[in-house]
Amino acid sequence: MRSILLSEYERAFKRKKTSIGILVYCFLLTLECVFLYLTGGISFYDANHSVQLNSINTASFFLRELGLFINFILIPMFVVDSFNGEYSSGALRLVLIRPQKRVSLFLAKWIVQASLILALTVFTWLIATIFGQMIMPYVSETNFLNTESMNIFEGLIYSIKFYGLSYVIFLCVIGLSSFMSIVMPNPIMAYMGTVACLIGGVYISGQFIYFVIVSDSVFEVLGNANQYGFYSSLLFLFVISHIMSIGIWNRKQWMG
Amino acid sequence: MSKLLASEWERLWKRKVTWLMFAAIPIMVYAAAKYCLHQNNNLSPDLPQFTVAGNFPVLGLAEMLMTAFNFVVLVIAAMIVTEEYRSGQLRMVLIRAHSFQQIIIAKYIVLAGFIFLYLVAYFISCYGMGYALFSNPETYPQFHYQDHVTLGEGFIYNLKFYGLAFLTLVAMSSVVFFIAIVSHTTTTTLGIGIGFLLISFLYPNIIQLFQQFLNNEVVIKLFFTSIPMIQWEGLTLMLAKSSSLYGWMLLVLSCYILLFHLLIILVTRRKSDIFI
Repeated sequence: MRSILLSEYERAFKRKKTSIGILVYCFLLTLECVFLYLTGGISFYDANHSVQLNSINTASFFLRELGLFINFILIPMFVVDSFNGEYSSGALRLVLIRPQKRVSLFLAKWIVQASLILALTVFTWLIATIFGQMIMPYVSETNFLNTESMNIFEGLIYSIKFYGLSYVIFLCVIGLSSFMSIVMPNPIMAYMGTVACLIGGVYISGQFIYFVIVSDSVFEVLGNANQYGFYSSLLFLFVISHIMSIGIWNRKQWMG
Repeated sequence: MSKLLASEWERLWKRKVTWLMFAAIPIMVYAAAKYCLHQNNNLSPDLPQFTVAGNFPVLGLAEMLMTAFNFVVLVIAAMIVTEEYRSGQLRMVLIRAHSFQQIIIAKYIVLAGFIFLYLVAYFISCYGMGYALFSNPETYPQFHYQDHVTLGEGFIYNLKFYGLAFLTLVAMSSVVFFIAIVSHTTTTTLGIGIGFLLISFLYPNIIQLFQQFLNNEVVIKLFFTSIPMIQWEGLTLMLAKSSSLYGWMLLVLSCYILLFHLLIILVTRRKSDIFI
């Protein structure tokens, strides 16, 4: 398993777009810092609630704009290339020559994608927290949407929870995208299917708005509203998409 | 050239995705109609936003134009340019005495033809769905018009609206074509294309935050330098009785078309010998 993982990481970074994608993300992260600084530290919980940023609460607002980039560009691009691009271009044959279990190939791909996004999420949290503490006006206590006031330590816990829940959303997008990559015949259809699911979900139920605007729903949930719908829909999507992906992946006609 | 066009046209329709996109039109129209019916519950009938059979083609397109239609253009460009070019299918065409540039031009014309057909199909489905689901008064209010318009006047207005929508999609396809030519894989094309769309959605809103530093006219003009914003709000403003922004938006759109065509010509000239 270890060598499969290594080979998978190697192939992921052999694709130029992985490193370029990460570089662009870092650039956007810097831009987000400049943007929050220039607007005078005003951001929004949702369309109706604006908020003055300070040293404690700043960290959580970075994913408002960056979440879009992660959900619609980074994850589909990486996942589709890994799960579908290699298969449809034939590059995966060289891996399939070895007597490996199909499911461990799937797991390796999944772990690589999940860890890449995890690294980006943690990195964003780190930069955002440092940015908040250094640049934004100092306060000793603050409160978030529908929460009691928190000191620095509790605020830190809140932001970790915030990034954790956002990461769960990202994992669901990875699940959806890998499912699409496995059932669709080529990368274009897979990408198209992923985006159609993310946007089409909103038409099915307003619940799925968290795929489009990550931060709004997470703020709501951490403010003790709409928790049931949020957790159950995420869990449902996560489980279903992965079970179907693994099932189809194992039964797929790989050669000829 | 006409044989090349015919062959490109044929290959476009050989694809299942193309047919799938046409099959999706009724679904899109139905989704738009559902949304408009939902909106109607909270609106009074003498507002132009209130949907009736006569203005449903415009209101039903407004939202779809900047999301679904741009996406359709992006997918088609990724298929007929990036995929064929990078997978080597294009070699078969290049065996004939056509340059890469000619083929790209032919593909561009084919895409424009596809968009035209797509809009016509959407227009017809909208009228069908509009008469089936919405009330049909003799006259109804129109955006930025003083008096109510009759069904006939409304029809002319709708035609003009679809013409301008076609122009915005042509501008969009110039941008997307350039992206599709320079990208090495289809996922890159789609990624950069969606990135372009997202940025075009976001920056006009950011500009509005700086309203206090700039004067109002500059903000509005900058706001309408983004194609999706022209598609969203600009088109109704362009068709207003006395529109000061008509010229500006036409200028922006033609700048997009000219600039990206120039870039395409530059890039394809450099790449024309890549297969030898």
